[in-house]
Amino acid sequence: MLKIDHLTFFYPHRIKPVIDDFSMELPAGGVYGLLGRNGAGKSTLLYLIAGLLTPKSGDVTFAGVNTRLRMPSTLADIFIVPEEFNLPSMPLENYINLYSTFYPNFSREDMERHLSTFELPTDIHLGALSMGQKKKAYMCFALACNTPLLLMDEPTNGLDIPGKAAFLRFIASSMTDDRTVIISTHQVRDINSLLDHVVIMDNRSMLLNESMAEIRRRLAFVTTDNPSLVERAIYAQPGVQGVNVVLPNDGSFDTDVDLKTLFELSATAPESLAAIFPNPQLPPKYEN
Amino acid sequence: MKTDFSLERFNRLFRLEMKRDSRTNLMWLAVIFGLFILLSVQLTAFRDYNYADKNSEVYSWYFNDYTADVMLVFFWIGLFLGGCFSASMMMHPIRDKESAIPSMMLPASQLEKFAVRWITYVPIFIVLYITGFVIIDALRVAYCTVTHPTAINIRFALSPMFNDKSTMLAAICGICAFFSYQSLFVLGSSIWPKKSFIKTFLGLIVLNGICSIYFSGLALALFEPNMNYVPLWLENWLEHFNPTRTMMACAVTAVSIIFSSINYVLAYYRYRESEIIQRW
Repeated sequence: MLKIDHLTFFYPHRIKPVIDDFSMELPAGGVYGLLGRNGAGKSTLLYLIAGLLTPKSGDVTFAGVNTRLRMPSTLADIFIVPEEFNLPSMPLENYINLYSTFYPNFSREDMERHLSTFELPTDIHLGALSMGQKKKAYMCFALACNTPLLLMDEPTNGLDIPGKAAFLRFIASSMTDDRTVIISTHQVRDINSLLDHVVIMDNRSMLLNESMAEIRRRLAFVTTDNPSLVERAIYAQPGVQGVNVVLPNDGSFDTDVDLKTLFELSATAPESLAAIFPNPQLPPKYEN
Repeated sequence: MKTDFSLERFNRLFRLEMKRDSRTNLMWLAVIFGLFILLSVQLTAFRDYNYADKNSEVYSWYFNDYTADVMLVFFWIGLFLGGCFSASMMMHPIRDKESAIPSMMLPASQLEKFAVRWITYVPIFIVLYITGFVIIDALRVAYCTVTHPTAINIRFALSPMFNDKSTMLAAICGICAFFSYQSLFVLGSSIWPKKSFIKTFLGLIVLNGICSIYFSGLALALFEPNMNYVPLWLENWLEHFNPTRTMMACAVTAVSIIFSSINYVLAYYRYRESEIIQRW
């Protein structure tokens, strides 16, 4: 289990913290979506979870061990796919042979399966790949390592349209009960169907931390022209096919969660969201 | 899983580092040795052309192998420059965020990662450098011996260092100075992983300037004849202090070992606490 305990982090020469007294617990298993505007601290939070940054106060523990200590056993349990990264210029086969030995759960069969999902051959040279292809290859390796915690920062950035579709299949096919995947993104449409749980960050705090099932149970996302529904909505935004509305769900709706609308609701009317999902992390100005 | 050091994991990491960076490292060594080959050929050809065919100076070439002396000077320059440059490459994998993340997330301890980089860029560099230099110098000596069979004073560039005890002690002091300087570049690399060589070089110039001014001032204050600042015990000790060359060499060696070790340990702790951002 991942536990974030009163985490505060400042970038050098900045007066305001990027993350301020942030706490969260994520039980093992499931795909978590970390959503937020640019500069909300999503990537920073992922780096702090991975132990790549030192917090000013608080700590992050994974399976009871502080990740900042960067113990080999903890590092073997965590894999991070950053938005941008450099890979050594060598054939993929050599890369796998050299790096996979550090991950005890690495599976070559999984690697080949993931590569075929992205339609990548095994005899490629990492130095000759485009950024998108490099990302696909690295994500394949990340999943094949079978680490209990996988962190992904904007994984769909740089992927082509078939690549984004393959990404959904790729994550869904490799999920197990004890594996946790945290995906930080603002490309919410790309991962809408994938998430089990949503965390929305803003203003250095957490606006929402709920499972998709609970959001579906309490909220309904409807596109309508019906004025009475629009009037009842806690959020309404005119769209091409009608008005996109968010309604409190009294049990009469069974709709999918529209992450884009949910995110807009959290950005424009956080107090409405707080009324439905009371959250101890919410800044005082949003409390009812 | 061992947390600090596992020999098995260290071996895997060493193999990984060797395979990953071998091309870049060999290219740098090839550049250094290419320069030495050019220098060696140039010096030999120059001597041959200018002196060998002139009756008045032909014996001067045979009896004074200036080529070896020049090669020896360049050996030391190459050792210092190449060694310091090599040391500045030590933290290259954490030079920017894109490279640092895969490197820092590799499941090995910080001690293992540091040890592998240190071994590659300090002792292995020195061994390869000296071996390469000796081979190039041996080729030069072989060429000169074949082209000038009557010459009696063709010698290896490094041979004067083993002439007698005093030259050996001087060589030891030179090696100690080299390690001291190189360790500063190792430390500099851990502080500034990016553009480390230039930044450390400039840092040392500034530090050297500050130290020179401070110690000059201190020496002036202490040893100015009109000022009686020197304590009596120190004056007596200085009067009777008559060290031998061996004593001085031992002292220099001891000081440089301690100094280099401190720098390596500081570099390790700085590396252990490294992040993907530069705080200063």
